[in-house]
Amino acid sequence: MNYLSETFIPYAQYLIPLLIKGLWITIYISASAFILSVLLGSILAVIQHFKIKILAPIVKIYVSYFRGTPLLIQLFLFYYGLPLVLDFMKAFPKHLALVLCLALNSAAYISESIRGAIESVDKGQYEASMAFGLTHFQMMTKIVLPQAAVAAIPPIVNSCMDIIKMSSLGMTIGIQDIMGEAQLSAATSYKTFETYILAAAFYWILAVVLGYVQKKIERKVNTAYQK
Amino acid sequence: MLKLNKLSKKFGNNEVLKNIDLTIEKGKVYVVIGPSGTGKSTLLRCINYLEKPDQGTIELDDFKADFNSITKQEIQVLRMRTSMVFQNSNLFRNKTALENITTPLTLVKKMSESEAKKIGLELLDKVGLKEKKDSYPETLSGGEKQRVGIARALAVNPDIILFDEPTSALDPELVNEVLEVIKDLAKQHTTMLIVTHEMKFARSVADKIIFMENGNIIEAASPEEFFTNPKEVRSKQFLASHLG
Repeated sequence: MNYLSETFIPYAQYLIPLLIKGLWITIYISASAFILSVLLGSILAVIQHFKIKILAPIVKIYVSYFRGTPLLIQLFLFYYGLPLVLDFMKAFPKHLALVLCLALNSAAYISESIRGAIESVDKGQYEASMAFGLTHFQMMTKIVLPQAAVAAIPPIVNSCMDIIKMSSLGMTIGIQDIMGEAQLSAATSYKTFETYILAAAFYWILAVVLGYVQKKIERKVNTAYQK
Repeated sequence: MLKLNKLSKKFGNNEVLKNIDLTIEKGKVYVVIGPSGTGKSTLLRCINYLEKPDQGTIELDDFKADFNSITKQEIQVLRMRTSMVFQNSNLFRNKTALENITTPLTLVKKMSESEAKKIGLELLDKVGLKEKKDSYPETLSGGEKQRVGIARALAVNPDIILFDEPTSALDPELVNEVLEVIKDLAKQHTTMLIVTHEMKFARSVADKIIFMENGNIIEAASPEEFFTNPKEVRSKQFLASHLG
């Protein structure tokens, strides 16, 4: 009991405000990266789905590279490596570097999720659209993509959760997000256990909130498909 | 009037349609029958350009197109003036019954929302599904889906409606409700080209029976003539095996 009142709670009172400061950075970096990755992922998915010349093979290599190498290496290469060979990369803002790396990495996964979802839409939906004279664009935006969204949402939310967790790698380039704050505090206070259990709780709460949002969205897009 | 001239279609080396000539008069019901895999569905799908014919021409009253040199605009005209009822209904899964009917009207025919809705409700009433207007396809029975599909095909006010085995995917007890709707349309002189395996229905609804085999039209005759006194040997054999 003494431990709780004499050690843990006072330390928590000191650390939590710092973690909250880090929380906002985690949220804004993850949110920016997520939005970018969905946009980029959709474009990549469409290129792959319609097998657009020249671009489609490039996308394939892109997806293969970003899925096949660790994010940490991608981040180090971008933030520490490229400035040595490219002059304009010198003094690149670190928050932006992390956002871009997370987005590029996650877009590779999201494009696969979206492509799979588009392919899960029944061929008959295309035929009916064409038979009734819908343009290609109308067919995709009004019929196919709304149906694909249902299948794409669970894996895309998973990707979002991955982004939040992977954003903790920003600590390695000196970003003061939840992980950055925790690491700094652990190093100065030597309260490693207390620090990381609180930091874990912060990430966990984010994940639970996200799961709740996912359920809400799913209920909304699923209305058409419930018996 | 719809007129096909020398329509041919190959899938690889397999000639599915061989120089088909066919004229369909306005207000008449033509029923295509024949063994499976003889090109009946392909014929329908070529008229709607869901399959690209290898050669041939098509006429719809004043409109004429050659499949060898058909333009995007001509394909669009063809699709707006013919409409399709699919075997599996292919209703838009993300749209309600009513929206399934109004979507082609607002998107393709550029009608106003309210105008399209009025037509949609009228037609749902006609196929007996007015109370299901806000239901999504997932909650409709197979027969109800087909009836919505028929309403959707009627709504665009086509020159001809093409039915691709409209009852083949249905449970037996749901077949009748769909056939009744089609019979009603026949009474009102809707021009229709129907592919079906329902012989009794074919006999009662058709103005003309088209018997197809191996990509050819073997015999075209009135239902009375065809079912009681078929001219061709193949027709006789087919009827013997299908009517028992």
